[in-house]
Parts: sequence; C-alpha cells; structure tokens
Amino acid sequence: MAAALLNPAAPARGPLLISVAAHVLLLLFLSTNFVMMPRQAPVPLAIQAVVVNPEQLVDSEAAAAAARQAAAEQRRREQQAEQARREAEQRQQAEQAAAERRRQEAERAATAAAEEQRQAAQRAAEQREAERKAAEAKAAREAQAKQAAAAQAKAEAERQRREAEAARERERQAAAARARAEAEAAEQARRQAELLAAIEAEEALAAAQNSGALNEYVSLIQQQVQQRWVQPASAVVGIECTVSVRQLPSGEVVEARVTRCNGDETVRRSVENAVYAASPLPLPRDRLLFDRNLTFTFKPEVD
Amino acid sequence: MKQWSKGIAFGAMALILAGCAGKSGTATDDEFGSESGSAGGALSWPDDEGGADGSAMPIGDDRASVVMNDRIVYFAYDSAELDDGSIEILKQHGRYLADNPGETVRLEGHADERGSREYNIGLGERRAVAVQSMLLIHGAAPEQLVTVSYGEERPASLGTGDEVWALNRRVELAYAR
Amino acid sequence: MRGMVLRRLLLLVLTWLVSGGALAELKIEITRGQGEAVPIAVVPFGWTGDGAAPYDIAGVVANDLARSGRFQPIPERDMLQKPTTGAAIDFADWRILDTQVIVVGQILPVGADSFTLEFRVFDVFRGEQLLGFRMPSERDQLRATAHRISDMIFEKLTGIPGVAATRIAYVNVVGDPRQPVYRLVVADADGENARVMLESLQPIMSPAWSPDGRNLAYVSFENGGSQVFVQSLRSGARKRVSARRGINSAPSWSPDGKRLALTLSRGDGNLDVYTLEIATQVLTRLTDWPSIETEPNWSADGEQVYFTSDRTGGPQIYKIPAAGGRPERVTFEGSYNARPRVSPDGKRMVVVHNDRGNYRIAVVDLERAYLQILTDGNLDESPSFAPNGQVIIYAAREGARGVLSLVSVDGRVAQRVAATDGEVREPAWSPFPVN
Repeated sequence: MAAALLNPAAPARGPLLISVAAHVLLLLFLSTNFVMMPRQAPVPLAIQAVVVNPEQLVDSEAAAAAARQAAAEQRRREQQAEQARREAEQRQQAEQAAAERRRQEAERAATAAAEEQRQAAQRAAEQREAERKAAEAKAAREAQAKQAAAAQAKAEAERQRREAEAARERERQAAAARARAEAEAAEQARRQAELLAAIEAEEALAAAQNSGALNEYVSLIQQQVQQRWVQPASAVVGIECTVSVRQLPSGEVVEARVTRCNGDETVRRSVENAVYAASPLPLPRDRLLFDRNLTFTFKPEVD
Repeated sequence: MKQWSKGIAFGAMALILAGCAGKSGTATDDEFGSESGSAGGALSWPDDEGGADGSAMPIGDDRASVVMNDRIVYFAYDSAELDDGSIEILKQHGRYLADNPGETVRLEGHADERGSREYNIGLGERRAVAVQSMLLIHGAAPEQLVTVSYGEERPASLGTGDEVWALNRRVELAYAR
Repeated sequence: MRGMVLRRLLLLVLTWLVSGGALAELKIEITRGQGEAVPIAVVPFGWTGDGAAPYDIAGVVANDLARSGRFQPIPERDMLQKPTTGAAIDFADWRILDTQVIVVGQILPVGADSFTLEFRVFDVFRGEQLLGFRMPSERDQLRATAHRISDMIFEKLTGIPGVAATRIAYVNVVGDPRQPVYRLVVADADGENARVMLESLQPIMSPAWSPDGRNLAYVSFENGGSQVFVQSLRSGARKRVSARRGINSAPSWSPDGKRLALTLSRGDGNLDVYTLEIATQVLTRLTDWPSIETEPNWSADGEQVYFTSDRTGGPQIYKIPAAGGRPERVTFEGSYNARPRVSPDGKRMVVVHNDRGNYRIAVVDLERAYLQILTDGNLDESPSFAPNGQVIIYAAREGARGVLSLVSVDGRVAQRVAATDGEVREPAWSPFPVN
C-alpha cells in the first residue's frame, strides 16, 4: 500500500515543479536580503576624512590663501562630499526604493507562491486522497482476488488430501476385510475341528447325563450350598443374584464372585459366603461331568 | 343394724362369710373347702321362717347350706352359659340377697389359662355378668352386686389339663359386709 | 457347492447342541437358605492392664449375637488362636473352623474405672475388615457398651438394627403359688440387669411401653379390680389413669405417646375399646358391640387400632380407624385369633392362634392376608415384637412354669430366654432407646 502511494502518477509532476521553484525563489529572496545589509557601512568612512590636520594651520598667508583655497577647496570638497552624500543618499534611496520594491515584489511573489503552494498542496492532498482511495480500492480488489485465489487453492489441496485419505481408507478396509476373512476362515476351521472333537465329548456327556449322574451332581452341590446359605432378611422374593464360582478338581472353591445381583451388600456377602462355606464342593461320580466353572443363581422363593 | 333386725339366724353364717371374703378375693379352692367344711359341722341353724319347737331336733336349712357351701359356679370352655345346677345354686343366692338387702357380693369371674390373658379377662367378666343377671332375676338388687374379672390370673386349681381348667372356669361369689 | 451347504448346516446343528449341552458352565439354582446361623468367632478381648480383665465383653457380645438367631458363636475352647488385633489373625486357621466372621478387640486402661474399648470385625473368606471402632467406657457401663458393640456388629452384618441395647418388661410371679407375689420387672434384652418396678399381692397385667421408652402403662388389681396405671421408669413415680367402674384393662400407647387405647366395661359387663387422652382424661369410644372387644394395639403409623372381638363367636382380629369409623375384620383363618401386635413396619401382626387345640404364636402378613404359625408350644401367649421387627418374644409354658421364649419372625430360629425365679409372663419389648 505504502509503495503504491509513493509511486507518483504522471499528472502530479507539474504542481510539484511549481512548488519546488517557489521554494527556491523564497530561499533566494531571503538570502539576498541578508547579504545586502553590510553594503551601507562605507558612508561614515567618508566623513572621517574631513578631520583637520593641526600642522597645516601654522602657515598664515599662505595659510590664509591656503585657507581660502583650502576653504574653497573645503567648500568644493564639501560640495563634492555633499553632492556625493546626496548622490549616495539618492542612490541609497533609489536603492532602498528598489529594495523595497524588490521586497514587496518578493513578498507578493512569496504570498502568491505561498498561496500557490497552499493551493498546490491542497490539490496535491486532494490528489493524494483520491489516489489513496483509488489505491485502496485497487488494493482491496487485489486482496479479494488474492483471497479468492488462496481459498480456491486451499479447497483444491483439501480435496486432494481427502481423496488420498479415502483411497488409503479403502485400502485399509480392504486389508482388514481380507484379514477378517482369513481369521474367520481360520476360526471356522478351528471351530470345526473343535466341534468335531466335541462330538465325542458330547456323546460321552450325553451318556453320563442319561445315566442321571449330572442331575445327581447338580443336586449334591445345590444341597450343600443351600444348607450353608443363611438367608438374610433382605433376601426376599424377587431378589436374584448370580455367583460365578471357580473350583479346583478337588472341589475346593478358589473364588466366588457375585456377577449380577439386585440385593444389598448383606445379600451379596451372604451368597458368596454360602459358596465359600460349602467348600469343598461335592464331586461328580463321573469325572467327565466335573466343571471348574460353576454358575449359581440365588433366587429366594420364600422371604 | 337393719340386717340385724332382718334375722339373727343368718348372723353367724354372715360372720363366716365375712371372714372368708375379708381376704378380698384371695381365697382359693382349698380354703373354701376347709372353711365350709368346718362351718358345715358347726352350723345347725333354725329356719329364719321359724317353726322350730324346743323338743324338735333342728335341721339345717338346705338353702342356707347352699349359700354357705356352693359359692362357685362353673362354665364350659369359652362359654358364659349357666347349666341347670348353677341356676339352682344362684336361685338360692338370689333369694338370700333379697332377704338380706344389707348383704353385698362380689362376683369374681375367672377363666382357664388357655388363650390370651386380656381376652380371658373378657370371658371372666362375661361369666360374672351372667351370674349377676341370674341373681337379679331371683331377687337380688343391683346395688348388692359388683362384678370383677380376674381372667386367668387367679386359678383355683394349679397345674394344667382338662380337669384343672374345668375348675378354673368359674365365678366365685364373695360376700362382703 | 452342495457339500459346503451341508457342512454349514452340520456346523449350525453342532453349535446349537454344544451350547445347549453340559459343556457350558454348570448352572445351579438356590431357592432358599437352610443355613440357620452364620458361624462367628468372638475372640476374648485382650486386656492390657494389671490383673484380670474388668469385664467379659466378648462373652456378652457372643450371647447377644447368638440370641438374634442369625449367628452361631463358636465356643472359646475350639479357637486355635486368640488374636486381639487384626494383624494377629491367621485367616486360614479360622477357615478350617468354618468361621465366616471373626471379632477381635481389646480393653485398654485409661483410669481406675475408665477404659477404652476397641474392636474389629473381619470377613474370614476374604480377609477384609468389615468394621472397626474404638470407644470409651466407664466400669459400670461396660456391659451396656458390650451391647452397643453387639448392635453395631449385627447391623453391619445383617443390615438390620440390633436390639441388644433395648429392654424388656414382664410380669414375674414368685413365692407360694397359693399366695403369690406379683412383680413388674424391667430387664436388659438379654434378661440381665432386672429391676422390680412394682410388687403386689394382687395381679399385675399387660405392661405396655410408651413410644419414648420412658414410661410403662399396666393393669394392677391392687384396689380390688383392674385399673390402669402409668409409671415412669426413671423416677418410679406412677399415676392411675383409668379406674372407671368395671374393667379398665389392656392399655396400648398411641405412637405420639399422648393417648392410650384401652378396654373398659363401664360396669355393664360389655367390654369395648376406647381411647383416652392421658393429660385431659378425654375418653372416646371406638367400638360399640355387645360382644367382647379388647386387646387394642395401635398401628405404628397411628392410623388404625387393631383389636380382638368375638362378635362372630370365637375371637378374631379386627381393625378400626383410630379416629373412629367402621371396623373391618382382619383374620379369617382358624377359630381363635387374639391379642394382635402390629410390627414396627406395619406389614405384619402377631397373634395368639388356636392350632388344633394348641395356643401358638402366629404371624399374619397384613398385605397378603397370610397366616403362618411360628411356635410349637401348646400354651404360648403374649407375643411382642422386638423394635427391629425381626424377633418376637412371647410367654410359653415349661411344665407348669411360665417362661419367656424368642422366635424369629420367619419362624426359623427359636430360643428360650434365661430362666428367672418363679413364673415369667407377658413380656413387652421396649422401643429403641431415645436419646
């Protein structure tokens, strides 16, 4: 912006020159006036020369003649001096008048110049304001244009970035899908193998279950825990608490933990303690039926 | 004084009754038995209606002996109904009271130990009131009678079982002076 | 292609089979607790002063917990160790004894007659501290402090306020049965610390606690008939509040302590229930039937008065608005239900019930109108709820003697209260102490 303002336009050259000329003139005038002052000094030097020499007064006749002569001479000299003085005076007056004229002229010129300069300055200021406004408008237009350009560039960059990202994401998903598919395939294979293995276990279990051994095992555990459960007053109908239990092959309870329970602290403690107190839990007749993890549901049917 | 003029024949009996009732309801079955027993031996009173001459052998009045000896009536379980025997006894007492307006009697109702104590107070009261009504029918005046219920608090017979309970479901007539 | 579909199908079926089969965790359902009491160890408290310990705190606590029926203290002789601090407990030792909870503590001397008691309660299975407190106690307060400790432990372990620090009032009959002496007695809830409030040669009946626990209303025959008195526990001063003609009996306090419900016969032999404002003697008749209406008991919310009436023949329980209104029958089961006492929470009521010729205590669920017989005696009477509503004290017959017994509100735990001289009857359990 500043650069734009300092860059003068062609139509501004004329008033500037006038202004410079006016300034030079004014400066010249001021300096002239100052230099002319010492020129008036020689006038008193001429009067000094009239002082009588006392040695010349001693000679009477000659002296008188001389005196007369001298007087005439004196008169003549005085006349001459007078004339010179007058001339000098006239000259000085003329000079003074001239100087006055010059001064007045200079003054007028200066005033005119000042006025001219003021007007020029005003015009220049007006010109500058107009220029500034124009420049500003121009700059605004330019900035707007620049901004628009920048936004466009940014949008473009963003679009490109997104596209790249989307491409990467597609790639990632594809990779994940591939991995999943592979894992699923593996899991399926594993499960299949497991299930095939389980068929045998299932058959064995079914045999054990059918023999009634499972029911017997469950009811043995049930009885033992039931007998140890001191049902607190707050364990009323509607209370249901699930306890996850881990046991060792010996039946010893390693952990009894309430997983879901709508009872209070007393109820929670009582059901866990019932399982702990029943430890070691009874073992099944058929080892196949043994399970390290048991789930108990405490669900009072009477208050 | 009034009583004195009414009949000297009952004087001694009244004394015995007063002595008995003087214990203010603390009398038990045994006390009754022993005192009425001795009274039965000592008392050979002429009839207050007269009719005894010097040569005749005096015999005791059966009503007097009823009043002296039968001062308890008994009830069935959870009942205030009077049986015929009780009604007969109370008839004698009613007449006696009518004849002796100066006499007053406390009707003390009791229950056996079964059931709740306060409800048994109610049962004792109901029995006492049943006795009161019968006495009024037979001539007693209301101001001669006062009821009180002890519920199961004062058993006549200690212990437990049907026989004991039967003896405890009762109203005692406690004469006062 | 066809092979793959078949394999898929097989897989599905197998998955279903296996998940439905026993390979999943064994599930066991428990529908009732048969355990009667939690085994607990109350280890004798340590004493750091000279000489013998000033009091057997652990003994009192163990007895209190045992009396609740919910705990079974293990005998001291079975203890493998006697720790007095938590740090000294070896939990494995206690697991061997099947102990679920252990209480340890110490008595520390402060002055000649002042001590500091500290105790800690631990869950044996988890090795966790459940409770720990330190409290000051003077020598003459050691027993009361022990009861407080019992109540703190009981509440922590059961979620229910304990009643060890409450009291019972009862009628004690002593001396020659033919000339007995009647006493009105107030004792600690464990039967200890008995104090005679009144002694008489005439019957005393029906003690009833004021709601603030400061007064007893009762019936005395000292003036020849039944009259109602109110006596201050602290001062012993007493006032006769009803000596109307006929029966004055069966007092029961209103929850605000300003009125008594009681039975009057007004001399006509008809028992009915009334309310009596104690300060003003203003009497209001509640029932007006020719039958026996008695044994009023004010409900905890003050709205209803329950009572016994035999208007239909045998006694049954009814209720009537305390402000007056229409009576409503409450019990229908059996031929004999009498002397209602409503539980502190207003949900239950205990009564004397005739069970095939035997008089037993039964609890009636007031919401479900369900009656359950709690006792197995043949002459059980006068049931009274503990202020926590969990235990009922009642009078039973032991041979020819009357004794006090306790039964839990679910009927599972029954106990006899330590025997006293003579016959004990009509127990009434105090409210919680008011501070």
